[in-house]
Amino acid sequence: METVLKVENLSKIFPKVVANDNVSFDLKKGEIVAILGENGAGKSTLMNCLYGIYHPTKGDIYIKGEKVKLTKIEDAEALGIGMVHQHFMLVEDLTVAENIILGRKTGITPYLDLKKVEKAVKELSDRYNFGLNPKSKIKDLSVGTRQRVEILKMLYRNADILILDEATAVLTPQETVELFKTLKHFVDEGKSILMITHKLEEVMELADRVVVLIDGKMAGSVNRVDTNPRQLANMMVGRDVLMDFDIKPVVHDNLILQVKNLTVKNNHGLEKIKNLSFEIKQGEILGVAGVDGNGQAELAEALTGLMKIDKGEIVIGEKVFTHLKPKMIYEQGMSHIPQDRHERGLVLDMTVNENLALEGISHVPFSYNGIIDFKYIKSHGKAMIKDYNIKCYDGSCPTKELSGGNQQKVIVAREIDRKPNIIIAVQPTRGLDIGATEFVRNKLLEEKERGAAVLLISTELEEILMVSNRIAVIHEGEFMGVIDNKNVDILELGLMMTGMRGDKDEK
Amino acid sequence: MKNRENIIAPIFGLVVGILVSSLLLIMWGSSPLKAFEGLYIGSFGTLGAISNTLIKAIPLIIGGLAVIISYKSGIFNVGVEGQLFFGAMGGAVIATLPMFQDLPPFISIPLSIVVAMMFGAILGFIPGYLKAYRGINEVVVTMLLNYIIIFFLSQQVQPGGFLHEPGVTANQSAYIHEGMKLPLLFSGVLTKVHIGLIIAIVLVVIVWFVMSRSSIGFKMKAIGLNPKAAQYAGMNMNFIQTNVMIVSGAMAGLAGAIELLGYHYRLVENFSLGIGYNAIAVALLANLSPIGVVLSAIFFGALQAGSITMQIVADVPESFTKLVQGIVVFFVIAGAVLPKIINKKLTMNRLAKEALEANQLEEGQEDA
Ligand SMILES: Nc1ncnc2c1ncn2[C@@H]1O[C@H](COP(=O)(O)OP(=O)(O)OP(=O)(O)O)[C@@H](O)[C@H]1O
Ligand SMILES: [Mg+2]
Repeated sequence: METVLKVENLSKIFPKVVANDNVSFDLKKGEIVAILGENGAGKSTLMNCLYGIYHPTKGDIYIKGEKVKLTKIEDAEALGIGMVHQHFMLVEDLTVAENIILGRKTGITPYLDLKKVEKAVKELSDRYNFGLNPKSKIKDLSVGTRQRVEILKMLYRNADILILDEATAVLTPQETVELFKTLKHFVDEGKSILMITHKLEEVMELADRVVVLIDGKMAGSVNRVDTNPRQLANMMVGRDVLMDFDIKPVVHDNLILQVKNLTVKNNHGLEKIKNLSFEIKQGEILGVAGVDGNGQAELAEALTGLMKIDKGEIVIGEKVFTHLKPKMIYEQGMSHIPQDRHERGLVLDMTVNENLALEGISHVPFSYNGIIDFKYIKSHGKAMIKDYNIKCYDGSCPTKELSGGNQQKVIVAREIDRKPNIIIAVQPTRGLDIGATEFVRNKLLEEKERGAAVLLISTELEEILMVSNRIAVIHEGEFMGVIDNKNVDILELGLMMTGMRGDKDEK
Repeated sequence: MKNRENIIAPIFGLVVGILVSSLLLIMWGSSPLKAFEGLYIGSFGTLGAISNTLIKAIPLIIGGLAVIISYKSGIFNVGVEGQLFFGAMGGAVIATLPMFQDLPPFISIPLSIVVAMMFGAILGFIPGYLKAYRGINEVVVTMLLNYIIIFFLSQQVQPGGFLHEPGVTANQSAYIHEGMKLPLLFSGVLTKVHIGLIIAIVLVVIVWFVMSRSSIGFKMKAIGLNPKAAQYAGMNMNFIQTNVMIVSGAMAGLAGAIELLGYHYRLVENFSLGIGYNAIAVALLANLSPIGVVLSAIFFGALQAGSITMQIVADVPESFTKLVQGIVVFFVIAGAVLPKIINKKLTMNRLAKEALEANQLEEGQEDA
């Protein structure tokens, strides 16, 4: 088989951080290679070097046998390399076709022939069953669809070496299945794929070969057929990751969070949450499963004061609220791990320490009478970095320089550490490596045992099954049923996700 | 190290700016040496020159601070000009209308300043409120308000206007009341530098403290950097932004009062034209640092103060001095950016090398 890409002794060094250290591997035509490694191991950096975003400090890159120097993205694209980033790079206010042609020309003249692009996009989309409308605006599209736009962007530019950085992290299981079909199709056409993922099942399903990185160094490269998830986990983390949790039964009777007849409309006036009622007891985790886009985001936003409540009320402890503001949420001891870490969760231009202090800043001990206690912020940051295993040189590191998973850990640390009464966690382990995922799930269980009421919203059914006491299935803004985790029937859950009402609705 | 960079960069730009304008001067047929000598003499050459420079710098410092606090909080206050004018009008109500002429100065001076700040605050509140609660772009609103206020002032100092000096045909207000001139510093030894300098320096310290040490400054920065995350973290963005604009406007109004009571002593058409816009350049050149604003305002002040001497000494028309000013400012601001990029690359490389060495050291230890 022809080798389409080869990396030799590549090192990438940032000020204060060695992200890649002497990495060598290759990729053959029609092959899928998975890059595995803990958060901050240097996977994204390595891929960015191959895509011309970063320049290796040392080492060589060969594309189709030729040694190349990639100084900018266009260089990489000219050689047939395409990349879908961990965080999408789309302009929300532009259409699909406009995003795809962004920064490119349609012909020799500067005139933009959008019709031509739209036609080509439509053809490509039809060929791979993407179902994209070239004219729809990105901001109106679901995450899965946005990703298809990113993939189409690569195809439009004739990429045959595809790099996917945690492509499945934001996808629902259904969308993942679709994506994998497409990827297999690509490989059959002779394209080659480099993929980063934290999900070992995906590696086992898709990859031909696996390259494992530890702390920027190559820890090994194995053929898929010669390995298994357990061995891979061991290679990465150096221990077994069991994901075996003990869900203790709920021992308290008092209700911490009650939602009564909640109705929420989006800004087009559509009802996204319809007359929804539920409650969570002290020391209980209620998991909300469902296909993405069925009101999960709106539910979380309404509960945390970011979206207006149209009807109904929210009872926190004894207090009844018919409208909420983020500030009130904090005062009521509610924590929120948001879905979109860049948009809502972090101020990327601030340091890790500052982000960890973001919510507490007006309160003791972060500040006294409005004057910041920098010493406390520093020591608090130091403790969080240690406890939550956030990889950075120290707390004064700008958050934007952290790896994706480590950014997520900053949010989780901030939200969980303040001993909240209620935790609203939306996809809390998105982008985390298996060790960190296990850690966060354990944390949620610990918090619940301490007495917190937890609402866990996740499109990963597996995650919900692992830690929840009860499981609700949301469909078009309504619960199709709430089931005790002890008597779960996966098939029934699956049916409920498609909109079938569960027959038993236990409390 | 960062501070060093912030000072070296503009100096680099200054040198390039001087070279380029020298070329122009030579082409014009006058001596660049003479011209810049004139500029220097007029801005720093004598005590009087220094005093002129400082007097020009005072409103720029305060205006620059007004720009900084809004910019850091995610609102671009382009309206310092209008707020300054409006503030000066408010101050003039107390300082020039006959009905207040019997107030003792220790009441009338602070009162005039407070009214000026209130006028400025009102003008800041309008775009602040519209931005925060109605989502209307603040740049557009502040720009339009600038026009309105500048014409409004010019109308009010014309015959028939409520601030017009009765009995004269010139478009001007009455002279400020007896005893209302701002007290001079060093009992007048530095000729005309007035207490406004102290006010400006105190404000610099306050703004510096609030921005870097207080939780409210932290929130302002967070809102400026990522409004959504800041709101999610419980910060009341609308309220904070509106109030920042009120304070920013009040500062601009204060600058207006100081111009009135410390320098012009009466309102005229196009009173202090351009300070509000120069304040934006001052703030950007200072890299939005409250301390840096002092230096960059003095730089702008010196260019203005020295221009007349330059005109006389080098025998160039006034427009030419303006051109040279523009060129120098352009290169200083551009220069503030350029070496930063170079410098960043250099430090990156150095740090990278250090990190590599540290890593090898670590590896060596592991092996041992
Ligand atoms: N622009 C940057 N400047 C400085 N350091 C950086 C930068 N980008 C990444 N790093 C550092 O390099 C290391 C590797 O980061 P990278 O993003 O490649 O990790 P990753 O393997 O993709 O992790 P994750 O699974 O969390 O996405 C981290 O320690 C990170 O903090
Ligand atoms: Mg990554």
